[in-house]
Amino acid sequence: MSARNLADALVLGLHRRFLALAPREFRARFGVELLDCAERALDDAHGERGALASFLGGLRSAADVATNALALRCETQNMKTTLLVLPLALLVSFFTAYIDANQSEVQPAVGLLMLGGALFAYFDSRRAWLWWLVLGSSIPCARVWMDLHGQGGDQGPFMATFLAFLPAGFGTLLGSALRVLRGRKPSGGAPA
Amino acid sequence: MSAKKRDAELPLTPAVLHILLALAGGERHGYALMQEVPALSEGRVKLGPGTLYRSLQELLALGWIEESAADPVDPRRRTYRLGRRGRAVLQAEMGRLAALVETARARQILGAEGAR
Repeated sequence: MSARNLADALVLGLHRRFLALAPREFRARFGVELLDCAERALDDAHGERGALASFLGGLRSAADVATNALALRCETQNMKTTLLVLPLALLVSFFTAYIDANQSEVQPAVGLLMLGGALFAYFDSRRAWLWWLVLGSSIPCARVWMDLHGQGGDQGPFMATFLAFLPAGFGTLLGSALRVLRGRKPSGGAPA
Repeated sequence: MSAKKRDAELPLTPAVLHILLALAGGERHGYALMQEVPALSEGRVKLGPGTLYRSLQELLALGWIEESAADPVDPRRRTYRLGRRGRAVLQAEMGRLAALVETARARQILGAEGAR
């Protein structure tokens, strides 16, 4: 196989892989046409711009397929709310772990886990499980990190850190229940 | 389509504007659109295949473009044409841009010949 054929196969393979990220309906409707376009553009670029430029152009084209496929996937699954809430949930998770590591009392961390869980589950109740996982795992993860860096000290048994899942779970349940009680359709997910 | 509803769709994204403008010249298949858009925009707008087909999907769903019969020689190549709604939106958008150009001329941002 020549270098050109190898480069073309690589670039077109990337197009196929990235296209697989798009929703099934889009692939079924436009997939063949899209790949045909990409292949023809690559062929034409070889004639007009040379091997390296056409390879780089092919990579840009594959990146364009990836970003649009992901955007379509997000639109289809209505993940905008989730993508907005996730950084906040991670921030609250880090903050909770920090508070827990630096306070002798557990109440502030428990309060944060419950409040964060309730808020995030209220705004994006279809992914309440995700907020439960993100918040609940904050303290066990922080403990692992501290043990690895020799900062663990005498903080009781490791398994006890998993108790963080209880207030986080209570909070997410509360948030989801409030959303249902308000009589609104669960938010942030694909239609059932 | 009412003028109010049509105006709510404006301004169009560069990709959609150039696709509609290319289709105003007649039916095109996807690859022809990919080639024509840079030509129309003097190379300023280039459509990757992902952007092109995502835009086509949206435009078909809005009813602004229509799909023609598959190419008898190569059924993979479907052609698209501008629909009545798409033409109305394109006219409204071009009118909006023309008014902006007039404003720019009045404020001497553009000369009588226009600026590049």
